[in-house]
Amino acid sequence: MNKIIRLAGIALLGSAFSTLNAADSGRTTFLQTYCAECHDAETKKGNLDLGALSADLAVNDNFSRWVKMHDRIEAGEMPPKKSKTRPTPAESAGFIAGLKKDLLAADTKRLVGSPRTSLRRLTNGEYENTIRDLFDLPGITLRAGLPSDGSAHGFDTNNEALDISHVTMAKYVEAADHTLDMAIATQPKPPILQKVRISLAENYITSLILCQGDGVLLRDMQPDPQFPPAGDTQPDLIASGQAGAFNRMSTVGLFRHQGESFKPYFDRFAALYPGRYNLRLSIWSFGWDKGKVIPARGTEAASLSIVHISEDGRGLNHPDDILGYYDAPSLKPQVHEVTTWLNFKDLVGFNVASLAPVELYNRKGRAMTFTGPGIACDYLDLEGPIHAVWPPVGHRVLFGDLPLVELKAGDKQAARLPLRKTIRQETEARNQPDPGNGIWSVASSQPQADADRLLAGFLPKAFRRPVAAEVRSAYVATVESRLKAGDCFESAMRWAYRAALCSPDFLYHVQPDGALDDFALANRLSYFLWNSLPDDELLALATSKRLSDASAVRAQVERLLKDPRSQRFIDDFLGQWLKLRSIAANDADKKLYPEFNLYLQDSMVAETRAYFRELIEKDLNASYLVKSDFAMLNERLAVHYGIPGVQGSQIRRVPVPEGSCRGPFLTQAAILKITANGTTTSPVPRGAFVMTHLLGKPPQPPPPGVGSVEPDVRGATTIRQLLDKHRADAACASCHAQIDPPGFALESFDVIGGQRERYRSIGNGDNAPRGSIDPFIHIEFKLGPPVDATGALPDGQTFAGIAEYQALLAKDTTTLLKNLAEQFMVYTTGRPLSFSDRADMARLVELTQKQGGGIRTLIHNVAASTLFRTH
Amino acid sequence: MNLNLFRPLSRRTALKGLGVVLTLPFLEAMTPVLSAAEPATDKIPRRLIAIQVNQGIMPQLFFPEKAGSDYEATPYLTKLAAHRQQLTVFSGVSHPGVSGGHMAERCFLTGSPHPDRGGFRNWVSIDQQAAEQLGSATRFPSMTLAVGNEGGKTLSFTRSGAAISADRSPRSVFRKLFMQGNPEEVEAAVEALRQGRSMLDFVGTQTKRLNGILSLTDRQRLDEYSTAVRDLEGRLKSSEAWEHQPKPKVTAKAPEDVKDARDFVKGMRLMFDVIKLAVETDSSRFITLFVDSTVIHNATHHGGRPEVIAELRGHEEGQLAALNDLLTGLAGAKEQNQSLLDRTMVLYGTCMGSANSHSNDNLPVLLAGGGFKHGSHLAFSRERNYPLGNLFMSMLARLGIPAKAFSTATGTMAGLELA
Repeated sequence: MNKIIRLAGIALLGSAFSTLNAADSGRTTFLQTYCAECHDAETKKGNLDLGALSADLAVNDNFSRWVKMHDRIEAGEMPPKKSKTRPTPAESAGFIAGLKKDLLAADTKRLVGSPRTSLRRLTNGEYENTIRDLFDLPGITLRAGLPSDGSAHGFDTNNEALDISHVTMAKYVEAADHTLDMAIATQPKPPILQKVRISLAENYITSLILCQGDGVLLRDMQPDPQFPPAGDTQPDLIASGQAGAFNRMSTVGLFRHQGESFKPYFDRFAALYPGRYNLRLSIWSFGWDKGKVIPARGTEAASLSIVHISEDGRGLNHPDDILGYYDAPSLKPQVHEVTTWLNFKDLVGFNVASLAPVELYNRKGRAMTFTGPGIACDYLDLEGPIHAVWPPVGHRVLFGDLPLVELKAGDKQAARLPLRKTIRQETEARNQPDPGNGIWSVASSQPQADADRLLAGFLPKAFRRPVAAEVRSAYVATVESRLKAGDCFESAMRWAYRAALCSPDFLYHVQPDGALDDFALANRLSYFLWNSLPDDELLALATSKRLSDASAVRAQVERLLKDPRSQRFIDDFLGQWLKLRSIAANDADKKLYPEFNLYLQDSMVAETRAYFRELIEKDLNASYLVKSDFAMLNERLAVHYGIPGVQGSQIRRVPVPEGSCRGPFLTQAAILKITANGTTTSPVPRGAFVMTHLLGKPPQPPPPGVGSVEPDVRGATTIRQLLDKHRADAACASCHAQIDPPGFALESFDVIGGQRERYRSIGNGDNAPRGSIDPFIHIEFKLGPPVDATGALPDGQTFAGIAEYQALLAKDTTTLLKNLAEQFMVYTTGRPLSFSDRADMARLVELTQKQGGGIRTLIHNVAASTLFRTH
Repeated sequence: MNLNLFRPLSRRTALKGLGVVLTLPFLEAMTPVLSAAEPATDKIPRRLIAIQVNQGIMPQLFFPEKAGSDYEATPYLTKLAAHRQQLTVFSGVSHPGVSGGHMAERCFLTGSPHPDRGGFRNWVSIDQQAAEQLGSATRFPSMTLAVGNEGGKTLSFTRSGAAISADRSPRSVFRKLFMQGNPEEVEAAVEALRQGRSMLDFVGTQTKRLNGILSLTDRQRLDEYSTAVRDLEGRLKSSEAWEHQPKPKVTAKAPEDVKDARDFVKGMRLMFDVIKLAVETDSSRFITLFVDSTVIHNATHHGGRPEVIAELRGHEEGQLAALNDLLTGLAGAKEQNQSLLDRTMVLYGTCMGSANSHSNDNLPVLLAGGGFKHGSHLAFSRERNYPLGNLFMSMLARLGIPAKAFSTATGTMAGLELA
């Protein structure tokens, strides 16, 4: 820089810098000497002009910039290593210490007077789980009807992510009505227990494809002699049906995977009464050789799904949710039992999940010229609704033990009859509603006293804390006013209950001003580890004020983690921390990745969840986030990862063979898919993901106007070659020196998490060997340029590939643990961490490391920390 | 079929490569212009009519060659020649990730990807999103209609992805719009609304008590809840008022439904008549029409056979002639100093780029009226399609609804300006 301009620049800076605290002449000198050259009004590197930067730390924007400066200098990143003049370690230390003191003072001042955690409403997940637990309705679906929550600081538990508008309120009112409709018993006896055994052949579309040759009827594990498979000619559907082909309880052997024109349902039964239903599915796999049943190639997997029928059930376009995947062993029927919840108009769907998409209807000779795998379904037994008690728990929560009596229109009582919805079978399923039995409703001989008593039980449960007598009286008064207006007792109480479920006490995490009381702690614990309201035991401890006791909290954390409801914590936390919620955000390109299917995707998600569960169960340390000696796999994943010896659809712990990098989050297919776009990978989003989500060091955003990379799937150039062009620039390199290394190491993995030595391409390239891809999947991709997964960390350590990179990363368990601790804290407290929290967090991490550094230990320490107990 | 053309556009790509780019900040930038240009007229309603024909539209007869305003009208666009200056033709657009041939027909107004996959769940359709915000201004927040529809198909979906049943009978729609309900039904509806308001009133009082124990900043947060409650109360009050309001009187007679479902063009015309009446009487501002022409499905798989193409052409031209008459009718009706067409967006398109091949990209879509600068062919890349959702973002902006996002849109539609 021209000497004259430079002097003038310093003179200018000097005057601008006089806005800083005059006592900090040392700070000013430091900045002028080592920073001003790049960070002045002219050059303004990184958009920072020190002359214009105010020293007023009370303003948020300024504060964050000073924090950024503090952090970058402390990390040694600034001034850049290539600078001509750099401060000595002592100078830096002095500068940082002084700045830190001011930052802490300003932060403390800012936080005085108001609670750290802003009032917020329940997230959609918390809302649904709270209702489910409160009324024992494990399958009621409410979340989907609410407008989506936002995200702030990585999670939806922050107030900034949780707005509320008239639209949300309208949905809450609807949801409350739906809940009460489901919870309130309207008959003195439970719905009649239905027990059916259904054959897949009864389903119209299945019978159609059986005639077309995409499946075969089997009896005693042989082709059904009365209805042979479709061969040169196609059996007539109607004639076969009339002859009884499809209602003989024959086993249905399917070759064809579900798709655009085929979705097999057990549609003889569509639930009329919501509740728990027991299912028993009998399946086995087989090989098919032009008309002969032979042993299967191995254990296959079939799936069941819950299909939510709309309108009259015709057509195939009904939304569904996978219930699970089940093993079909070779030539050996296995009966799977599962209990699930069915809502009104739900039925069960089936799919041969592990088979490749195969269609035989167009083929010459149909099934008789086909050799390949099939899955046989003997039957589905369905039993329900199962009610252990009647009236059910949800009803008792509202009405206790009040008897149900029959109300007749025109009775002496002047009260209006409660509204009852007529239940009709709207689909073509054959189950019919129970015979009409009149209108029954709860009776009360002392309505006022009963209203008071019932609300005294309900409101504290729903509001998750004690409810003052005046509040209860206000609700009781509404019941009285409805009774006066001519409502029956049920309708009058319903009015009050609906109001309670729409009140701010229910919808919000209410915490009075001041320090967190025991009830707030109980709520914080249960919403942390169960995503739902505290149960009776937690509330009892809060009432007797024992939650301030460390050992009580410890025992509760253990209890909550051991409860099955802790799965909600795992799913909700991982869904956001590792972005599992985005698993289906884009489709794997069908030409490049023909082996991708829903079974693989579901398995990927199950792996990540099971792995986190295992880390918690075994209290494993943070190095396991990036490097592991075991993986949680099923057969589909094991085949995908090239790990031999795993059979079956269930996830289980598998030791990772020598030389395999699989196991930890870093190399799990779900993460690799989420950080790609379905067609191509790029080191930049992957690197940024690792930095942000695993290391807790989010990279700077790119400067505006930077070009973007155009991936080339024709195989001509690799992403790395394309990236090199803009990494060569020193300005870009400062950030990319950190972002790229993890990204490069992960280039060893494609968009669905498979490991590769060469890129797949459409167009240019060599023929690709089939490898582990199912023989029935047509491969048209080619192998393009080789993958270069080498790189170097900013500190100069190099790695030749993913294994070496993992080893380097796994050494710094403190960074990994610290980030996870921060993620937990932000998630459970619903607020971001502030500058003054750093000391507490450092102590928490240090303590955890001393105790072995395990994840379960970390969870305990988070729950026991001061920050957790801070409002 | 099933070409995966979706490439999530980074912000930088959006800024770089798309010509006149109107990204989200455009929404704020435009508002002052709107209020400056039309201070008196922004009280006049704006509307949306969305029509999908589910068996496709033959692309070779629809898409013009040239982009811009002096494109040569194709045989199909010639059918709409009278309204050329009032409409914009789009090419190179589709919904990213929406594949599955016919299955895409339920995603036309939602853009939800993978309708052909297990576990598919739809999203809110644009008409329902609009109705949520603005629907309470009319007796019917929205109208979901269909023609020739056996299998319960619909264009409208709620937030949770639940299908909203479509009315298939022009006669019953007419009666709903213009015949008074029976007194008991009205009484019941009014009572439900009253109870709703009364409950909201009650929960509103609970905030007063809470304010007494919360910190100052928390009281401010709770304000958002109070506002939401009050807003909803206001809307229920409007709905109640509608119950007491007599329905509009029209001179037209109730139509007789078409007997033969195969005559879907006639069905379209009957529905268009009712839709025009609904718009003229401001009975609803968000109307969708699903035209199910599955009867001609086999013809759409023409495979290049000239005689089949000719037959198909006849059907499709019939549809366009009906559309033309609808546009003429709207253009001829006045609302203050503008035509109804100027205030009503008419979206017409299909979920399949080529029904012959079941492809779901390069969808034939056009937008007429509503208050945009029309008259041209907006051509996007046929190899890497532009998200159709961006058109929906522009439409929401036109309606005055600030949407942060909609479906798979990446911003508002490039090259489509508000008039």
